[in-house]
Amino acid sequence: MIDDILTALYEHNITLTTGVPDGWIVPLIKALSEDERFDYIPAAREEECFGIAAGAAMAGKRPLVLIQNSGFLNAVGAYTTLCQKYQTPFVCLVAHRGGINDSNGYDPNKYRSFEAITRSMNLFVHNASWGSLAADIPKAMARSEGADEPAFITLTEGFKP
Amino acid sequence: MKQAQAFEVLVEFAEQHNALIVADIGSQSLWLKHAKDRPQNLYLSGPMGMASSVALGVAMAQKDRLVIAACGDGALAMNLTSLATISSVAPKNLIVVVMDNGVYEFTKSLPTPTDGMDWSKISATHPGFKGTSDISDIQNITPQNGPHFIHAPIEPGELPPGPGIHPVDVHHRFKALFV
Repeated sequence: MIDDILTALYEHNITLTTGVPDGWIVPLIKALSEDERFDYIPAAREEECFGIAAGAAMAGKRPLVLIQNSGFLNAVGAYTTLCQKYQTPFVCLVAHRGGINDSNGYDPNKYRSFEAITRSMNLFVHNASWGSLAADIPKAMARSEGADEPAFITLTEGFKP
Repeated sequence: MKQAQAFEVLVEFAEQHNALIVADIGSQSLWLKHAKDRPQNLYLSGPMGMASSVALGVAMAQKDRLVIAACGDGALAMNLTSLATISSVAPKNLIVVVMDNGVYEFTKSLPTPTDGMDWSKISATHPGFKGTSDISDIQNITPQNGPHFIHAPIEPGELPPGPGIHPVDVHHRFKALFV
């Protein structure tokens, strides 16, 4: 399944990626890091990811960001003042922690706040499954470029080999 | 050195090497535009402290072009972790410049928290950087042999001349270079 996702990304020229790891998406981050067709930039903070993605998008690339939902909460200021203001297209894949598949006691507030904030900001957020990512990320990129705004894809469970 | 002069030096170097410049919000974007408005300039007028990260994205997207991040000291202080990220990735085509006047020029010149910080140690503490230079030595830097860090001590002073350019226009003008 991970191979299918990488093949789809490469075929759609989505080769510049950046992120801050979350356990659920580590298999995808590792695969991107180890595949020479891709650049994966391991950022120290999620704000940096939005800066890197916006810069790459304005320099003609089709970036993919991989973060946890709490990372988006960290980076709302950079998102609004940079990605929204400059209308930079990219896709942001979010490990949406704290939902029905997550029993961690420290995650529910992340889920609640991400839902509330993205809804109040009227952002485009598509809930996907691992099985649909190979199709959904390229479609989200096309949607992002058409709408002149980033597109968010959420996953509510970790990768199961 | 005044910031206006520092940007004249930076633009001269950029033009010698067909370099792209990403400038932080406020003083840096407006002084860069004042030095010379070029399509190769990416002015940031919204996010504070993001020039180094945006420049990293540009550098990774355009690996054959020299990319310069022009950061304010207050702005870079908000995104110091970007230096760790840049050091880790170590793009050869990236130069990070800090315009260091010790104040938030646009915010009533309140002092930045970087007072006493030794910017000359950046490459010693972030080993991906190949070296740290003073801006007076910029001509000794070999492009595509980075990343490099440049310290530009500048005098605090007058606010830069305005106005800027609308962000979406900046975006589209910059992106057109790569189509």
